[in-house]
Amino acid sequence: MRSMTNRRWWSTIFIVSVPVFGLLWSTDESHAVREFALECSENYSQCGGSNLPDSCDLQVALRAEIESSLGIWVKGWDFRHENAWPQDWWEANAVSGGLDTSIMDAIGRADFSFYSGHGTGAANEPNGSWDLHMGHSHDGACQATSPGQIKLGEQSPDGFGNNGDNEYVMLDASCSMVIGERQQVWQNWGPGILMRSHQGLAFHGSPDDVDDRGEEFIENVADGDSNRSAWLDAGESCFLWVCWNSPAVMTFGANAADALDRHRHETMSSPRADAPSGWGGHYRWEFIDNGGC
Amino acid sequence: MPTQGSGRRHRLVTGLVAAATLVGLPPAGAADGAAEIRYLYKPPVAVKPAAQVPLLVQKAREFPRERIEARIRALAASVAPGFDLARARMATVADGETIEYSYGPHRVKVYPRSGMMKYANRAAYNAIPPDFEKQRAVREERALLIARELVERLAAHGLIDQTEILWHAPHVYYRKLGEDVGGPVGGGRPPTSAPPRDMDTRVFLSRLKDGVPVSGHGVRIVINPDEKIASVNLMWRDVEKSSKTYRTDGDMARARQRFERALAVSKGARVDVLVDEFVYLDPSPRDPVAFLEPGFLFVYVVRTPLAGKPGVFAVSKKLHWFLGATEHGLLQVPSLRKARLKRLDVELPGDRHPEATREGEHEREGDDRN
Repeated sequence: MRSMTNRRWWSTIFIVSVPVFGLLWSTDESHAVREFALECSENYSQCGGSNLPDSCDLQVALRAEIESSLGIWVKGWDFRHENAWPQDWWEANAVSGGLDTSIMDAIGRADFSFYSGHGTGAANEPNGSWDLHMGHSHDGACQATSPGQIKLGEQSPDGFGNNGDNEYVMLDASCSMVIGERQQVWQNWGPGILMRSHQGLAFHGSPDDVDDRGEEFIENVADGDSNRSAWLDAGESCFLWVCWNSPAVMTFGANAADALDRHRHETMSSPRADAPSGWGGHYRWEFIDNGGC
Repeated sequence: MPTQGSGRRHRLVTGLVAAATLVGLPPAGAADGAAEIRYLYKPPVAVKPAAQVPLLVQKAREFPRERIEARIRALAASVAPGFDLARARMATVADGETIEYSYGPHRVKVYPRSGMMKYANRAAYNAIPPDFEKQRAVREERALLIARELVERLAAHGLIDQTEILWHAPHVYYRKLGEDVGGPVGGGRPPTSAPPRDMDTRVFLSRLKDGVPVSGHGVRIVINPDEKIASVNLMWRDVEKSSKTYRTDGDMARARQRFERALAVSKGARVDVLVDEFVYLDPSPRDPVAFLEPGFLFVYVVRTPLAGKPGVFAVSKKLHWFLGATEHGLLQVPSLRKARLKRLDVELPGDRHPEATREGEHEREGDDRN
């Protein structure tokens, strides 16, 4: 009799707790659907520069791995070749012709924004500026520049008037996170790329033109690694006598503890819902030091 | 991916690949003086091709499960005695390119088509421990001692041949962590920061076969401040020299001429050649091969001046160009990975830009793929 009562009691708890738990789970933003937006360039006949034979293969393999391994992520955009425009990265409220509000920082499209192609470097680095250099020009433009044009994840109080959505940005291009210019190009002091985006994944040097780096990154994330560890592992390459590429990560947080916590734990397999604070804040940055641009 | 044919055909294919890489650019190679080519390579050892060289033939095209597990046991015995393969969780990626075995904090990722293995103690690899500000990274001399002990264990378990390790030119480097306290927006007081801290120590030891480097092969070891090994990457195909040797065709001087002729870069561009070396080329750890081919490998970065931005250059990723050195007449295994990517490109087509309105703007300009 006693055991029967217990069984009913536990059954009641179970029946009540399942929908409650489900409701809590579904309203937890870390389990909400996220979108990825991808852009790549291979052919540089219009904008100048050497072609990159594996640049869009890298993107295709990345997308395939996300879709097969990270269930909460769905495609927002996948632009390749002439469909990848520099304006897609321009801050709509700061740069005439900017489309980031509907493309690479768009709500419902671009929680993870990715670019594969050329970057830019100066005769004397660091020079406090970096450009994403597309292969095809659009309206006469080939580049999106930071600081100045690329501002991701910003919200109304940040001074750019519109709400961005980006959480993570990966720039698979040369010199995309030169450590000596990280503050101008990446931090909101610049004001650079990470307005309220949580994290940037890029290169202190020039990466190899290969097709499997993004796929390797997602495989690591799907296996439980943080974005940071997954990128430091996937971004590096050992070749002939040395290891090279120098993958780099920067994470934005409200204060020292928040920045370190996010840096350690942010992962695309369970993204944090809360954006970092706006102006000021702290940044943690990390890289494998195999030389820079 | 076409099957590679004879050595001549292979070199033709290679040349076409290199040329196709540069399709559409005005021919402005070194010959007309429009591009500056800088050879920056400083090898740690001099590599002199013999007059006759063998191929390196892979003993098995793909490792069967029992062979993979034997290698994992050997790796675990060398670096992670606590790893229990019998109780490990196994995950096979659908494409068959990788298999992961996890047990506790230990993970071994295997690339069955090459035999490459990546071990990580996930609690320690790329870690930022609570007391990291009190820890000091292991210095080079000590790291090399730890690396040597590990390499001896790997060799004792049959995973590598110690005699093929290049000991006198190790690459020792560090993972670094920094912090900035944000400054006010748009200028004024800059952010404050402290110099980055070395978080771990990394050693890469490369592989030579008869004095010729095998590109991509070697052992990479990550050592944490507590001197424990956090990660080992082992790219070491099980290859043996072919019974037949082949005449080495050409030398580096001629290879440079061919490389420079194949280059077609924009006017005013600068080509930084980071590597020009005689090697055994391994195309990819995600692909099977019949053999590794000897030849002349060039790795380079192209810096192209940007119109309207003086002193700023489009910087390419690192590009590779290879010229086979022998007329071996053997067929290479077609790349399974390239075939898969070609299939994915069709199955997962890209989007048309929603803002594309001008006629022809959104039309695909042919396959850009090279």
